[in-house]
Amino acid sequence: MKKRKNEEVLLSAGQIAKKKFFQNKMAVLGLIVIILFVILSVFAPLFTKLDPNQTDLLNIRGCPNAEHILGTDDLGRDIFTRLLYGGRISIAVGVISMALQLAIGVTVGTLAGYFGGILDKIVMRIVDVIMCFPFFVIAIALASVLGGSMTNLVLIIGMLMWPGIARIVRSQVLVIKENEFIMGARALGLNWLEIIFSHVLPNIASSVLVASTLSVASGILMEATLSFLGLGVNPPDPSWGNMLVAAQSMSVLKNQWWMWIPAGTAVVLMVLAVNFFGDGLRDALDAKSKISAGD
Amino acid sequence: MEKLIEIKNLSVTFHDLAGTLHAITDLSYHINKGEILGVIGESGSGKSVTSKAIMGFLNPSCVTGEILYKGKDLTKMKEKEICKLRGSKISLVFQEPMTALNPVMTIGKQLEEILVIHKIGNKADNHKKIIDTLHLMNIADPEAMMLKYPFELSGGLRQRIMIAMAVLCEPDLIIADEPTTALDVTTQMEILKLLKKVTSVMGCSVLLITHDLGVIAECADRVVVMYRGRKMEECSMKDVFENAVHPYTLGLIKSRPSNFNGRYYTIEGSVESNYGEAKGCLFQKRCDFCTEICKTKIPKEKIISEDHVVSCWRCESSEGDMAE
Amino acid sequence: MSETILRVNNLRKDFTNRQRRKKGQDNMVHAVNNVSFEMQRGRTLGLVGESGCGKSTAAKMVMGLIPVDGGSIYYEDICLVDTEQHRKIKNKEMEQLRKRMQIVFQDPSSCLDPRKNIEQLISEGIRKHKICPKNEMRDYCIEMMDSCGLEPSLLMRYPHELSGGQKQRVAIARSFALKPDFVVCDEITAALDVSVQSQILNLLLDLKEKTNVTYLFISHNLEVVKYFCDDIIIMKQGEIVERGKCLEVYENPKEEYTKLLLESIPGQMIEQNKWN
Repeated sequence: MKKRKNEEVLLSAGQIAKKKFFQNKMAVLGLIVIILFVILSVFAPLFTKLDPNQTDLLNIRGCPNAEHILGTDDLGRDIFTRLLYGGRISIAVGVISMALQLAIGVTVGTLAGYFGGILDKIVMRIVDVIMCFPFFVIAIALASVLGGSMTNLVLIIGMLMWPGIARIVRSQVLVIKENEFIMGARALGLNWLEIIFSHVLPNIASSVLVASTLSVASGILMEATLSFLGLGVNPPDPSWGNMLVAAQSMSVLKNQWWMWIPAGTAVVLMVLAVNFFGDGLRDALDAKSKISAGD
Repeated sequence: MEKLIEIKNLSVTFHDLAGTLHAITDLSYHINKGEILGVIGESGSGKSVTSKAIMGFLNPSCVTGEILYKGKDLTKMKEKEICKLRGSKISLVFQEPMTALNPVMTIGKQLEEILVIHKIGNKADNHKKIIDTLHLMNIADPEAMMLKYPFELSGGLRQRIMIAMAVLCEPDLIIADEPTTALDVTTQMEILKLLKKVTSVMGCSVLLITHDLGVIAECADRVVVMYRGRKMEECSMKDVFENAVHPYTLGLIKSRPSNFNGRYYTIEGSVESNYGEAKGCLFQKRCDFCTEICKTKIPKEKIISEDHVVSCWRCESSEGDMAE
Repeated sequence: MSETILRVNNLRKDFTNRQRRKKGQDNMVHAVNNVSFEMQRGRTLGLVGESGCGKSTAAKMVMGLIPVDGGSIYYEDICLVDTEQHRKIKNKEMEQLRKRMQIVFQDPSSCLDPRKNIEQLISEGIRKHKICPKNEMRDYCIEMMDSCGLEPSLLMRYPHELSGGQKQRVAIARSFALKPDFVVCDEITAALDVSVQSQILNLLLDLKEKTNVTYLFISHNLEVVKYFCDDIIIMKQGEIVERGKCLEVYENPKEEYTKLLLESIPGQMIEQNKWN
């Protein structure tokens, strides 16, 4: 915190946002859970010595015990290990598909919003068309045709969901464009590219940040759904979604809870955590402080 | 003259992420019946916060001191009680006429609403009252005006409707917070003349809050000068321009653009923020007459003459000094 | 040195009004209609009128910030736009010209990018037009801030941490850093307190003395314009109503509208010492 002469405390916009964020307990909890899952998944070998694909046909559907703390699955593989390694895939799909959505959505939305006119009309019609279709219907059709794999999942989710980001970005750009400082930048002699990079993008950054965290959450959920339907990540590679396939059997559902509850819980916790974090981020960045020296 | 509103030692403090903001400190002045009191101050002076305090819009925990209206303390009143006063006995004219009217209701409906809420009279009487009030506002065709929507009106007309709404229940006090700032010069003059007319016809008082000395000169009977939440000077309108004592008041008068002499007169420095505790006079850093005592002690209120008080160490009144 | 720096002829800007079209009336609103004037180097021209009279629109057209529907604008013999001859300055040339023609806007809160600190704001134009080498940039910024009355300690601050007056000084510093010959001041004191207004006006006068810049001063505040400007043009509903040397127009207004404006200035009795 910077201090001025007569003991005033002056905070920058970033510091105010940080303060607001940390006052929101659910958001902080969300952040902790996210960090926990990421550490567990990325550093999985530190937490488990077992191989996720190591089968042990003598020990199928084993109860949780000292050696396998979350039991074993249909092929005797350790569930805890698969959970950790599976987290890698699920989180990776969420994050990479978000990156793809951002790359396309931000570019398209910014150009449409800034230039308006014909470009805007064409782009928004494309966005409307893609958003018309229910996601899962198209996703399932595409996945069946292309086959399941992490790459295909990322591509499907990214290509079907970028319009959402594009719409948010475009509406933000429309608002920013009306600000006088944009006209001021033009008056200084900057061209459109310089204005977009220097003035437009930094000002939409906070809404884009929030939209992207929330899209990670939906990415994880979509991966889980598609993998559950057998259209996602292929066995033997673990992912939270295909671990849930076990729950398709009634007897497993009733009798072997350790085969589906951990993965299900992981998905729910992760998605909730990301949502709370995203909400907290939005509230903290929203109503950016207008504390000035005067009024 | 009889006092309508008496503000005694009012202090308003806000707590936010950046610290403690002393919006108003130890403010005392009064408004007489039937007069127009002008409160002049720049940004950070706390003049608008005063109007919110009178209307009871502030969180009670932020407010200390008293605002007496007919013997009752407005700051201690319950919400229900003060709601009965708002709009009927004490009403508010806002700065921004563009946004102060409900865009989806006709003018007639908005005016009726006030009378209905305060249960003034029956429908026929109300209608006549509204028409009469609109006539008072110099509106050419009141019946047609009742059917119009706000977006059909110009800024000046909207401000007249706002004043009509304020005046409808025959209030004792109208608080006009920068009523002409958003208007054109020619419209501004009309609105100021209208305020004066309303005061003389209806006998109500007006608390006119502005940053423009010219507006004060057109309308006000008495003036209160505020700076950074404190009262600097209080006197009659004539005294402000002929016998002002406080360096800030003098500075404001000299800063008017018509006082051009090769360059414009300026008050050195800029308004500091009101965060944190202040030591000594709030104006010390910008004052040409600052002395040692100004830096350490907050000036006490001194009586210069009847109706003229100043908070400044510089002046010595002929009748000796007196703390409030 | 009465060289003509700006020539504006029959300038026109139209807006279509959908409401009026529905009623079958002429749907063209002439925001600026047949406006012509010339400016001499070193003489401040005041463009005065009430809101909606088209003064800001005309200024923005001169600066090339909004398209022109009719007429011509010549800056120092360079044609910015000439609708009759279908000529328009190329974008690249206009970018170069921006070094010499600058504009300062009314609202200091919205004309500065809230995401940039003061150094970035002031050096933006300098960097674009390569006014000085990179290693001297910071010193040049501090020099500009100094000549505009800003302390160097404000270099790293953000707009929301500054007062209205300080923000306006930053906007002025940013424009003057490009060493312009011609500056449009679009209602720059409207959003400021009275005491700050005087400081900003004095700053502009100081800068004029130093650099011999020519101002196009737009305002609705007749008190300010009286002594600040050398010449004055009064506009109403897109058209010029009266023009002339500033003090002459104030002493002897010819048009009714001008007289009405001058009479409506509040507080004239202060100078005349007459109280009600």
